[in-house]
Amino acid sequence: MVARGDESPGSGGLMHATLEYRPSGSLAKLLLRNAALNLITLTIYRFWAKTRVRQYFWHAVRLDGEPLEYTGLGRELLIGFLIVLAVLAPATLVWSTAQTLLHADPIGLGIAQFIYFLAVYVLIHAATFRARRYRLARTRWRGIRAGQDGSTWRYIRLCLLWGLASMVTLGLAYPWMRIAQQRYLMNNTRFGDRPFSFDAPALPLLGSWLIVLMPTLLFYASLAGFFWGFWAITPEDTEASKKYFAEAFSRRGGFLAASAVFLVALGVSWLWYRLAEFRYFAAHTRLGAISVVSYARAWPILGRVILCLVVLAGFVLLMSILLTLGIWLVLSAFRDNVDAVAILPLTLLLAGLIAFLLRRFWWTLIVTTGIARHVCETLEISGIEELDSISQTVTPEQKYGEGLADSFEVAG
Amino acid sequence: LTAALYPARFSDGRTAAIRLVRAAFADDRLSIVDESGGLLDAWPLAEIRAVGLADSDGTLRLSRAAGDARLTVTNADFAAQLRRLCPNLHRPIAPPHVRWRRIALWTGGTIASLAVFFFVIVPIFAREVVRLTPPAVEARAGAWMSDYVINLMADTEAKRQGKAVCQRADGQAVLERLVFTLTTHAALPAPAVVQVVNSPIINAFALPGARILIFRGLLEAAVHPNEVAGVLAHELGHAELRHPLQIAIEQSSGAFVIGLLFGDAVGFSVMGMTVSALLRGYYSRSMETEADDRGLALMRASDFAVEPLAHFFTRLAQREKTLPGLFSVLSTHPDSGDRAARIRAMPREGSRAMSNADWQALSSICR
Repeated sequence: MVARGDESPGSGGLMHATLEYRPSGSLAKLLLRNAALNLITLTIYRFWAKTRVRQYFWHAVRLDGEPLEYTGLGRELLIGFLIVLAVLAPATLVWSTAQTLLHADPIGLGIAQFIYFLAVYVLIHAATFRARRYRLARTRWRGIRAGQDGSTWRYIRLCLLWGLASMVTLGLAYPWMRIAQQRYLMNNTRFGDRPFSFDAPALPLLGSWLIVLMPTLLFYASLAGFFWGFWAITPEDTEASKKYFAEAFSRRGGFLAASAVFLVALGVSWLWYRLAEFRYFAAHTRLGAISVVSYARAWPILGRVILCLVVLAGFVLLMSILLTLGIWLVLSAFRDNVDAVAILPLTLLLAGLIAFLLRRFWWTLIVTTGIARHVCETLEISGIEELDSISQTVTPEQKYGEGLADSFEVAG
Repeated sequence: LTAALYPARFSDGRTAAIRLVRAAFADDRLSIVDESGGLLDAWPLAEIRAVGLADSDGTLRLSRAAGDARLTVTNADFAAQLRRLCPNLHRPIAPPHVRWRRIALWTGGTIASLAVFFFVIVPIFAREVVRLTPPAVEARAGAWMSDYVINLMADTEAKRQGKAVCQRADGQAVLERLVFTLTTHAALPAPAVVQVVNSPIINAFALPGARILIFRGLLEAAVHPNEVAGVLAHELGHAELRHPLQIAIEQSSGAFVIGLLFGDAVGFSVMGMTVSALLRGYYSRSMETEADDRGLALMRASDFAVEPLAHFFTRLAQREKTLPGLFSVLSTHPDSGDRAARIRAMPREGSRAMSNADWQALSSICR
């Protein structure tokens, strides 16, 4: 038997283990290679690039000494994309035509936009559901496949109903929506022949959620207050409305600062909520007698995000200095008195563009790896000896598909 | 062959249990035996594949073809022997339900259907939508677009003075008379609305709902009133054939799908725009020829001489010669030299579109 974690006396003899995060090979090299091939193939390589990155991350996650195995193929992603394209192209035709014709008709345009919004909402949830199904079907551990059952339509219906409830309650019902989604997803997830199970009340999440919701509502309330003040002025009184806007404009510095503070606070509180939700979800998920506890926190992840931003800023600065120097050297060969400071804004812009194109590279390298390591190393699993008794499903994996579209990941 | 017994870990693919085993090479096979010596499995060497990535310490994981069983190899000697003896160790495992022929079929089919989509379905769809669109809806869309274009393209200074559209009374009267004469024989989707935009650009174009914008620069570049009349007749030809609406529909749907095709990398939206510009060239060259024909017919019906228009195109052709070759491919209009030649081949009869005094008034409509 392979070495396992200590048997803790307090937990009824169940064996504990944490997930390990042990990457092999250089991720930076892999990402650079992907970026180069994406450039050469006009991004058609992106399906194979995504597959290789997944292989890397799956392989880095170890449970009881053995890594996860990702068996998906780039060509499957390509075909999934082609299918989506075949569906979206005609839909796009109708939408863009409606937009062209209805520009002057606010009611018609409103209806068209509502239908478009609804279609996008449905498509996003359908794609998420199917992408999860694809990824689980292509995940193995010790040769045993994972999988997801359930119907896409039922998941969409659930998302639509709870989405509506969240809208009507100004976001208050959001934790209930998240629980309903997680319940449907986890209760349809299995490893081998063993189903996962999840159920939990939503109320304990409400406190964490209010920390995100409160500043958001406050922000919208202040915006609404501004427009309310404008509406209160009689339409004929152009002088008063001019004065109102002039006064608002004179306070724009304060407004911008408040918006910046709000955005940062929203980002941090959102991350904080997500982690609280993740720990809550983990604590209520079972695989037979196996249970997990997560001690993942928001701060280490936030640290990685800040590090990524600092690296990006440093990258832009260094690139623009190097570019300026290069251009200055070349120009100096032809002309006298070249003003290097005049070139700087241009190279700063250029470096910014390069950094923007490479943002995924830095993000994956710094933030994604940070999240993966932190989440793995803070996840404690108890009862892992039960893993040994999990059998391969007897039904072949195709049985869980609904025709061709299901054999492929429908998420681009 | 070597008779050495190597240690390894084995999962049989039926359950997730893992156990310590010994493995040995014998007769083109790899025998896997448990610790008491019982044979668990025997894998033909040609079917042995490495799955997943190799660990940094050289640990390998093997499968037999696409099978579910896994053998974890940590012993360095064993790994070296496997590399030497298994010919297909690093060949990818193709799942039985995905074959390259099917990929080729799908890719070819997609390229073909995209070609059909862009060059057949989009134009036909646009033409049918144009046919079914009530003129009133087209007129409203046109009014909206025209306000947008005027605001976008008029001189900043002119806009500030509230003179984005030039409408000096005497020039406006001449323009309206000219439009009336030319449209007597035209079947327009809505009454023509012709406006002069206060901008130095030498251009004119038609928008949905028979809205036509002439730019100040065109009036300044013209040396004969029939040049302006000819350009106006050409744009009225577009309006009559409802080309502007058709182009608006084709453009907006084409650009989005191209964006989708090249993924979400922002750098490639430039690519999308380039391709979409090429498509625009494709879509409108035939339309330009149609509008030329219609415009010349309107000129003849109004008894206006078309000869001056040929001079106008000759001057344009000289201007185009200074542009590099690539731009002529991207240009949406047919070659100006060809257009001039076509006009010169027509009968030389016809009169001046307006008196000298009227031409003076029209030229100074922006003053």
